[in-house]
Amino acid sequence: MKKVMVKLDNVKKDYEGKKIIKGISLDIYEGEFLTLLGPSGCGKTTLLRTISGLEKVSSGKIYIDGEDVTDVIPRKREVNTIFQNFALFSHMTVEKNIGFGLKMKKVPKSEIKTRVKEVIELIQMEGFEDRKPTQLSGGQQQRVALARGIVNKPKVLLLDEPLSSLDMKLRKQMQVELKRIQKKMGITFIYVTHDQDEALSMSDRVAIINNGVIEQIDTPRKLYDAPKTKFVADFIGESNQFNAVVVSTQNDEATIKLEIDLEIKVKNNHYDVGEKLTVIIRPEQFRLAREKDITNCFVVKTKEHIYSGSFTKVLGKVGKKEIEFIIYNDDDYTKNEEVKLKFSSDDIVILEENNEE
Amino acid sequence: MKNKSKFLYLSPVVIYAIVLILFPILYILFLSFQTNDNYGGIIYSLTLNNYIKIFDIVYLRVLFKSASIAFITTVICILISYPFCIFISEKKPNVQKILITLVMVPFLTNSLIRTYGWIVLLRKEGVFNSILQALNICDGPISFMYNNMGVFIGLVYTLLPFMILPVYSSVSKIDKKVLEASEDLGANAYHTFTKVILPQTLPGIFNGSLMVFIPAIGMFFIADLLGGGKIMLVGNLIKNQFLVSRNWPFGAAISIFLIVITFLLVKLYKKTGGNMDDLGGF
Repeated sequence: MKKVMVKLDNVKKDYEGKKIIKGISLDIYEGEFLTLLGPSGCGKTTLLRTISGLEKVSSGKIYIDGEDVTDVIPRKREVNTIFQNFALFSHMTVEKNIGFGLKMKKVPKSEIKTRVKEVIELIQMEGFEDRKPTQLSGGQQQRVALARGIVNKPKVLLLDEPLSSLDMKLRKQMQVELKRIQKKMGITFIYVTHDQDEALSMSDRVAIINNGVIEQIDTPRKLYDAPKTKFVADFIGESNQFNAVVVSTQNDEATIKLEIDLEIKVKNNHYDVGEKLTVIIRPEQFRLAREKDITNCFVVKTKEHIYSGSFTKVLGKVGKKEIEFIIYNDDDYTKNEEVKLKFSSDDIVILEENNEE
Repeated sequence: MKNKSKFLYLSPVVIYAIVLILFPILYILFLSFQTNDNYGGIIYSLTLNNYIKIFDIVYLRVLFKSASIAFITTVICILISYPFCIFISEKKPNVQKILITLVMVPFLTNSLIRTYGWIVLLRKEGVFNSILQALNICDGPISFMYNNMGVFIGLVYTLLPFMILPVYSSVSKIDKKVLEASEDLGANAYHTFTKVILPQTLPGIFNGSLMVFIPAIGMFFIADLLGGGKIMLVGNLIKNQFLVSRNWPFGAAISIFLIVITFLLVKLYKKTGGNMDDLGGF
């Protein structure tokens, strides 16, 4: 049984009459790397700020390491935040910046010195101790901001889109770095981002937030393979979503009809005849069909080919429905007006429509 | 081609600076090494006498008095404008713009005229004294002017915008996130102010101080009008040398002396770790 480090109990936050967070409950375990992922304005940053205390909750409780901190002011909470624009103290040197938190906690000077030296080694910034933040590159500033947080050995480190101002290459590099440092320090990380690649590549678990509620919280793999809502399927990776209706049910098999006029057989999950479903098929789950294939097959009119190196993304239409699929370069495929595609009923995800809203 | 057009764009500024700033200063510098005759004329010679004369006890006293008045004026301006700027910076951006524009409105009227306005308010039968006596707050009239107080009121009033603008520019530049970071890292309100806000606004305060202190030394008309001629600022001294004593070389020497002091103050600021970019930053 893993220890719960942060517990959110039905946290709500209203701001100027608008409901930003509409009741979120969440357990975050010790040493976990949890990401809050969602589109901008979904409430993920606000949620993070309620944990740091920079934002007060409207109702609900927040526990850190078992202690109710709902009404505790930020500086008394054993959490630290890494801000989006780094928020470094521009008038202090790197060393002073990193040591600021310890100094405020009245840690003896000699101890501050050794601990600051340790984290400077950890972030590989030896020799930069006396520089001012303006004399550092974006990536270096990011490291200093990170060091300024972890040097205090907080129980939880909150990261608010810390990589968003870095360029692509640096971001990838820092992702690896962050993960390495998190593992080494064993600190619980709560990470906010709107970038799904970042979320999927670093996190132990990802909470998908939309409109102030958690849509789904799961491991990155499960989020992709088994999304529980249309929103999650759409937000994580690419997906084709089909409306479908149950035509008939046998014991453990059901026949459903997709909106592209295709009947397929799927596992019966207590479906009723006439029940509405949503079927989700990822672009890479389509395969080119051969002449002899007859089940789970349909013909697509292709419209656009987008070449992406190892594969080509193809946009097509079945009737009025837009379909996206992927052709690998070694596939026996020539650009064609019409293509026959197939898929396996085992791969697809079926959502019961009434789960929605 | 490109360099040529660049020069063309810059030429009005360059010509302005050379003709109206550089030449007069060079002329003043030249004058300061000359001697005057008894009728206000200039005898061309090369002498340091004018500079030596500044260190005469009579003039040193004026310098000292003038510097202390300017210093106190500067401190009062800091004390008024700092809270004011923090107050403004917490308003919405549009409100901030309006308030800062209001600070600059007095510039639309000549400062001499505005100083006359203060006389109407401050004199013995003036607006303030009438109100105070009508409300029975005091018996006799209070001497608001023709003394040190009049000079301070005049100087602070005239120079306050020059403090507010640079201080506001540095206060408003502080990122709210940085203050949150400070709080997040365990600093209380006092430490956030002394360790984060104050150091970051120091360039603005210094910039404002220069822009208040230097003119405050020289604002002779305020000392004349509100000080009743009893208070002698360095500005009065220079004015008197040029217009009354007709000793242009000595007046020029004092002027150059003031310019040198200004340079030294900026140097001092640089030495103490100040950033020159911050000084021009408003």
